[in-house]
This record gives sequence, C-alpha cells and structure tokens, in this order.
Amino acid sequence: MDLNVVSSEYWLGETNYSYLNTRVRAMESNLFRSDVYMKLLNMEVSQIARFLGEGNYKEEIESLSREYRGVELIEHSINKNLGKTYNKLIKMSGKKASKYAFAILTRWDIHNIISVLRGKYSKATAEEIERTLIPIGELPFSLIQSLVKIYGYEDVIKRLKKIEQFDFLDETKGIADIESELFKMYYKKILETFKKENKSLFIQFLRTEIDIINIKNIMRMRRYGFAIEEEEKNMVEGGLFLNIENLSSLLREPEKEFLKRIKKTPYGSIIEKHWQEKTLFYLEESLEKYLMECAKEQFIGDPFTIMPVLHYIISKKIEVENIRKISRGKASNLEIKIIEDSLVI
Amino acid sequence: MAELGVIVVVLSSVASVILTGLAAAWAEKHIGSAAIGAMTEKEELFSKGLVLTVIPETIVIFGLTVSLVLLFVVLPQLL
Repeated sequence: MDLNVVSSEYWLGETNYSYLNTRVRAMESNLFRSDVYMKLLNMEVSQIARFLGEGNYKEEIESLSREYRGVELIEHSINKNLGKTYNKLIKMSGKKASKYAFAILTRWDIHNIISVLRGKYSKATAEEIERTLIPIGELPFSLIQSLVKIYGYEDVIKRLKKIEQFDFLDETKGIADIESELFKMYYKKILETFKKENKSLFIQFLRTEIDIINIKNIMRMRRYGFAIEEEEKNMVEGGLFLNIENLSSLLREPEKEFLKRIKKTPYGSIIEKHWQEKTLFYLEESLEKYLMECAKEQFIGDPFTIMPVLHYIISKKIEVENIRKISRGKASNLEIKIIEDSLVI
Repeated sequence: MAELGVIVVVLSSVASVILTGLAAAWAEKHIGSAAIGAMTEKEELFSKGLVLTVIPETIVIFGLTVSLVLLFVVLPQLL
C-alpha cells in the first residue's frame, strides 16, 4: 500500500464544512460505545476477533484472517483500519480542513519511524516491526516499509538523513536521543505552521500534549536521576502551562514544593494520585487518558469548523487503542479490572 | 405621491421573492450537503435528509405570498 496523502494536496477541493462535519458525525456514530467495551472485556481473544469481523472491521479481519491469528490478527486489522479511515478523512476534508488533519496525521510518520528504529535497535524481526506500523502519514508508506528491510539501526538513520526534513539526525546517537529529537522537530514544525492561531483549541491541545510529554520526562528524571545535558535534550518547548524554565526549576524542587506547584496545573491531581506508586506506568497511562479526554471534550465545538473532524480523529484513535489494550491484556491474562482502568471511555 | 407608492410596492414585491429565494438557496446548500454527507455513511438517513433539504423551500413560499399580497391587494388600492 503506497500512500502519500499529504503531498497530494492538489486534488483536494474546497472544504465544505456542512458536508464534512455531518459525514464525520455519522462516521462517529459507528464507533464503539462504552457498553461494547464492557462486552469485549468479557470475551476471549478469538471471540473479540470474531466480534470485530462482524462490525466495522469486517473488511480488514476478512482480508487478514488467512495470514494471522488471535492478537496478531486484531492488531494488524485495527492498524489497517485506522490507516484506511484517516486516508478517507483526508480525501474528504478539502484544502482548508486538511491542513489541520495533516498536522495530526503527520505524527504517524514519527510513530512509524520510531517503531522501525526501536525495532532495529532491539534487533526485532521485520514481521515484528511491520506489525506496529500504521499506513498513514506524509512519507510514502513504501519508504517506511523499505526502512524495515534495511539491515541495522545506523543504516536506517543514514537512509533517513537523505530526506530533507530528517537531515539533522545523527546515527551515532542512541535511540532515546533520536526519539526526542524527532518529537521536538514535529512540535516545532506544527507550532510554527499555526503561529497565528495560538489560542485555537487545536493548538491548545497540542500544547497540552507537550506538557504531558515534559511531565513524563521530569517524573522519570526525578525518579531515576539525570545528567544536565539529558535534561535539555528531553524537554520540548511550547507547553501550555509549563515552559522550559518552569520545568527546569520543578525538576530540582523538593517533593513538597514540587507537589504544591504542580497542583496549580490541571495535571496536579493525577500526579498526586499516583505519587506513592513504585512504577510510573499508571501515572503515564493516566496522563495519556487525561489528554484523550481533554481532546474529546474540547473538540466537540462549532460545526462550521474543523473541530468535529479532529474530534473524530482522536475518538477513532481512542477506539483503536482501547481494542488493542483489551486484546493484549486478554492475551496476557491480565485482570479485567486492570484492563478496564486503562481504557479511555 | 401615488406613483412613489406604486414603485415602492412593486420593488418590495420583487425584493421579497429575490431575497427569500437567495436565503432558501443558501440554506439548502448547507442542509443539502450535510444531508448528502450523512447519507454517504448511513443510507437509511435518505428520507430524513430529503425532508430536511426541502424545508427551506417554505421561505420562498412566504416570500411569494408576500409578493402576491403586495401586487394584488396593496397595489390596486394605490392605483
């Protein structure tokens, strides 16, 4: 599947919001409701696959059922469906609306590149890497697939360096540094593109996302220690409530002061709730959940704007992530309560 | 003076049809495209979409009624 939706903007017509938003709302009404997740939680993996095959994921499940079984079948199907849905959205968005849709969708390039790099770094097989890829983004998917076939981690970065937007990468750096550089590049590019719309809900959402990335980083650094150069490398500029200086001082605050200051932000209650836990896993999950809930609430907005489309993009992503969590959790025999807590409903 | 009244009535009659026509067209454009959008994903919404699309037509009927009242009721009184 060779897709390069972003650079093919020339065939897009003008945006007709009445058409676009009602269509998107009709599509949204087909997404799973909370009671469906409860049903899925009580099913076995094979039953989940069958259930998906009878509904919105029919086409993907049917076409992939010969190659894969169980969790793999579900995972491949939902990835393929997500790519298909996002491509469809771009096609029907029109020029004006597609600018925003692209901004969210181009992150899948970063997602795909990071998946390939992580796979290569940990010496995963080509099949294992391909399983994590989503066929959407600015780069042609064939390019991403060709990266999977390249032998080693350094070679992948060397190949990426030939592409203009990734020429800053350095193959001698570790995976963590490359990841943070890619994220930084993505947010910098987007915030520059939408400089004039600094107060729009879309930009606020992106800046909340930056805050959450930064909070995750400072929590990790506080817990596991850090080097000064590491701090600079990890922080992303442009957060909504926390700028770089704030973050830097927060990182060095004693426990009480840290909690007092962070409580002034909307993330305070989440951090406080998980403060005593040994692992950061649940805190990170809750922050992600908060971000998704924020987007769902914020993007309901005006029907004559791009907001309903962004709402759908996020809702679809949430659905796919929920299905993934349920199927993986079920496959690894996790308790239903733990899986349920991680879902965004 | 009566001539001015005739001109005003005739112009009002024309304006009521033209303006309501334009308003109905604008409304139908949006409702029509929204209905098509919804129908593309859910075919069962066809009948509802069709009904909603023709609702703005009533504005033109009001405009036409006003125009006819002006021409056949008000105008003869001025002549």
